[in-house]
Amino acid sequence: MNVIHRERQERLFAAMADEGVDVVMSWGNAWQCDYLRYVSDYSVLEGDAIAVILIDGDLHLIVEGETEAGRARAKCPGATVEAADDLVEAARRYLAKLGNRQIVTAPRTLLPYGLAPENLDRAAADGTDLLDRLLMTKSPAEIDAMRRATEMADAGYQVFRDAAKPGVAEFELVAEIEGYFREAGSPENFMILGSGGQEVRGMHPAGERRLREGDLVTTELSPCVDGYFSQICRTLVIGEPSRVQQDAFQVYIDAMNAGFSVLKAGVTASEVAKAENDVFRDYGLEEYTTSEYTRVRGHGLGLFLDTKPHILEDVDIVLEEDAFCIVHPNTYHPVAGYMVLGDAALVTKDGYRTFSSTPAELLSTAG
Amino acid sequence: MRRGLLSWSETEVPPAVLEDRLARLRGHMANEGLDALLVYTNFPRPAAVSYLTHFVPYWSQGMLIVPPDGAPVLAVSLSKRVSNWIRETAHVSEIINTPNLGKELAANLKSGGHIRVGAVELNRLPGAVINGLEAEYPDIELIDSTALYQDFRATADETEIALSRRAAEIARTALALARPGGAPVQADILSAIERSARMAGCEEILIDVAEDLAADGRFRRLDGPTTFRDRYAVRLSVAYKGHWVRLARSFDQRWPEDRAKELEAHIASAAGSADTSGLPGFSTGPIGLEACIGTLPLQSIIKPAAGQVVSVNRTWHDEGGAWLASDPVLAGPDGKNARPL
Repeated sequence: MNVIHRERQERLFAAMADEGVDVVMSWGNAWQCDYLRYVSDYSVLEGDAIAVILIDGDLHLIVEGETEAGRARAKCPGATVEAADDLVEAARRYLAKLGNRQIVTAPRTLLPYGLAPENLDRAAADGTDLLDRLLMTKSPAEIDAMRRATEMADAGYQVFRDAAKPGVAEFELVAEIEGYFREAGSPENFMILGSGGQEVRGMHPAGERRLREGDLVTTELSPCVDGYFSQICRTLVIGEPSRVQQDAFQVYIDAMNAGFSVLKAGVTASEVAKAENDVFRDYGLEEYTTSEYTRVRGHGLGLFLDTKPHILEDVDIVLEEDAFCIVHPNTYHPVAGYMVLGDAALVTKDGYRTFSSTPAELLSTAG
Repeated sequence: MRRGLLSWSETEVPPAVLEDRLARLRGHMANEGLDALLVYTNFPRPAAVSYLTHFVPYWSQGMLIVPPDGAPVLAVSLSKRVSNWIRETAHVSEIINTPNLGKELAANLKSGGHIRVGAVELNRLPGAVINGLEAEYPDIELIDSTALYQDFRATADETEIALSRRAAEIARTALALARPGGAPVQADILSAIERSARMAGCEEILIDVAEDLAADGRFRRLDGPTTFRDRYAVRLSVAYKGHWVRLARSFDQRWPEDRAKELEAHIASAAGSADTSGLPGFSTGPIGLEACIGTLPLQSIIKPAAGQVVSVNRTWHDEGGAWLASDPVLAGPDGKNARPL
């Protein structure tokens, strides 16, 4: 067992013992598998999967189909792996074998209808909070993985910057980045982008649009090391930035700095979001901090790229020491178009530590 | 979650094809006496909604509400600012943006007077959504319509065949980069495979490897640096415009070129039929079949239906270890006598 998973298991079994839990059943899929990976060290590539772990370490994995089962058996030789056509029925059968043990399930947002606690024919409590506490605060090995993922994001951004040229299609740009991340050993990456001018309202998966001189090209890159995602958000101008673009971008620099200025162990996600949004308010741009134009002002990072807490003014989750998050005041600017800027950071007792080395400024292909 | 190109070409996927699929689905719904059908979509389970609308989500989740007539409604947990992108890449008219899918589904179905409502893969839908729907609309009668959808989905139309064939071409070109050359194959070749497929416009490519078939005849997910031994295999799962195929080949760096070519010819000719799966000098192992019959892009099936696009996964063994291959095929009218895509 690798160091990182040994640390996870020690923390998981201690938490289970503290709460009198005998069994954790976690669900994950190819999009979000943080709860599943935490208990099993397994990230599903296709479909959905269930991990059932007993406090003595016995692990049972249920996946959809033989293709995924083959991957699971290769990755988790110590686990029993079941390939099921009907994941829900397979899980129900397995739970029935566990007698009267105390079972918790997680996460409540992903559990399928057939396995929701109210639809089970046996008692199972919600274990989402138990696992959330473990997921949010990182161990030393987890922090090291996050650091390496952040460095990989920096290197990936440099590839992005070098490849972004007039005439290159969005999907060709993505091909270069994904090729690089594959070479660098990142098994996953989440990437969206936007290109164009004042008319661009957000980022999306790559299309066929070709870059032009003067475009703002926004992207967030989210590579992964040992299952842990970091992220970088930057805005690149194709050619020389205009005065309008530079002036507009100052808002984002000020907002990100404001968010970081309050970030430390013990603050709430709300306080960080308010610090960012106050900058937009000071510039008379409060409207652009709403859900009409933006989603979140940052979010947690770890085994999922968009994990708790979401940095929003109505989220009162406390950021603990050794949490990892990104501060990104990404939103639409009415004069320049959609702009992004964000860095990932480790929350420390007195502040934060970022491992990113890419300049936090409006970048340009002109140099 | 490595999405590549997501775009809609009306030349490749004409709106009339999507409308024809919808009309056929409604025929199945009418036979079952359904007032409406719910079809779920998220990142790992995009296939059913993609087949009906061309919409592939890169984030969050959604549900397509198919009423007995009129335009379907796509309810998504994505903000309104994403709706323009959805309209550019999919054939949908009404989009509901909501953080609370269950509540919005209830409101829509209730206002339409739809009580007997089918749901594809009901048990696997998110409990938070379905329990929310039932709480808001206690009179609803939810029916598992998985089998109904599978019946509807089995036979491929010309558009599906063309898009699957394009996915197979992309995969073949990329996989050719894994062939042994003058120098031993190393992990950087996988980066070239990824680039090749994405430059050709694929939506997604998953890469599995079996680095040393002499020691372990199983594919594993590529999740970091790797070193290939003498006998190895690479499997690509490639999506193009919502249609997925698997293609896998084994290689032995010690073999002369004519031996490799001879084996490849046998594998290619065997791809279409379980009856001709023999490989000279090898014993035959299990055969697995996969097709798109629900929300998953590919899932295991027991037997191909007539005219179905199927990925056939094969294993052979000799004294040197396992030999693996996967090929996408189009099943014949009797479900057999398939031809390679």
